[in-house]
Amino acid sequence: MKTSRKKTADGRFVAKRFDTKISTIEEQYGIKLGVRGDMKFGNYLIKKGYRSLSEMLQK
Amino acid sequence: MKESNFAFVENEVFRQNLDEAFDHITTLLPFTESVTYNEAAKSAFCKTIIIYTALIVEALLFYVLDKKFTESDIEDFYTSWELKNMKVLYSVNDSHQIVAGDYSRILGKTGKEKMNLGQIIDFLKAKKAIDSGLFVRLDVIRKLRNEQHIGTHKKVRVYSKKDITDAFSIARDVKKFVQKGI
Repeated sequence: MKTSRKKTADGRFVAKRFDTKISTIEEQYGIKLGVRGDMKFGNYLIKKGYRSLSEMLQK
Repeated sequence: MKESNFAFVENEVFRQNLDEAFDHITTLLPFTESVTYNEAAKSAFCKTIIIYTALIVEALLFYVLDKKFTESDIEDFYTSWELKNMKVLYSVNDSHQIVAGDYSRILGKTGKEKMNLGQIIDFLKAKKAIDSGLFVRLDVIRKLRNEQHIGTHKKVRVYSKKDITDAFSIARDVKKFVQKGI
């Protein structure tokens, strides 16, 4: 598990958002999620049955 | 501020801590869906996700407690009465006595920052800051977290998607509740 998470200028992590692309996540963590790379993370969560978590993400 | 998933939290450090915990959950979640890992590894990811989700719930509830109640409210809540130098004046029966003694008020020693999730939930319920429906759901996530380290441990429990979706559902409701109430 790599932790090459995006950071702000002052070194803080940028919160993952609803519109993060799956391809970005796959690339960051070296995993395959079996869905289209341009799918938004929030939509991926809904598709996989994680509606509650998706609703916690800022759109 | 715009980037945060907890933009309603005013304290920047607190908000950043919540965002980092939440981000860790969303980082771990795809690993539970990936075919690369076996069931034991996926269960371990689920356990971490549950712990982090409970952490967010606990932090958000503490935020409510800290905003709405003073240290003195906590002290009062944990205040009790203690009977010292007790003298039995009359024994009614085996389970009932008439007594005399020094009856003193003992101030509660717990402060806000020493309270755990169970204590925070009980306090907010007693103060009617949360309703009984939310109280019952909060107890579910508290048990989900605690059974990982406290309990009889008669068998190794495998954690699944159902456990984490239950935890997420409770966390979402708590986030909505805090957002509305602050």
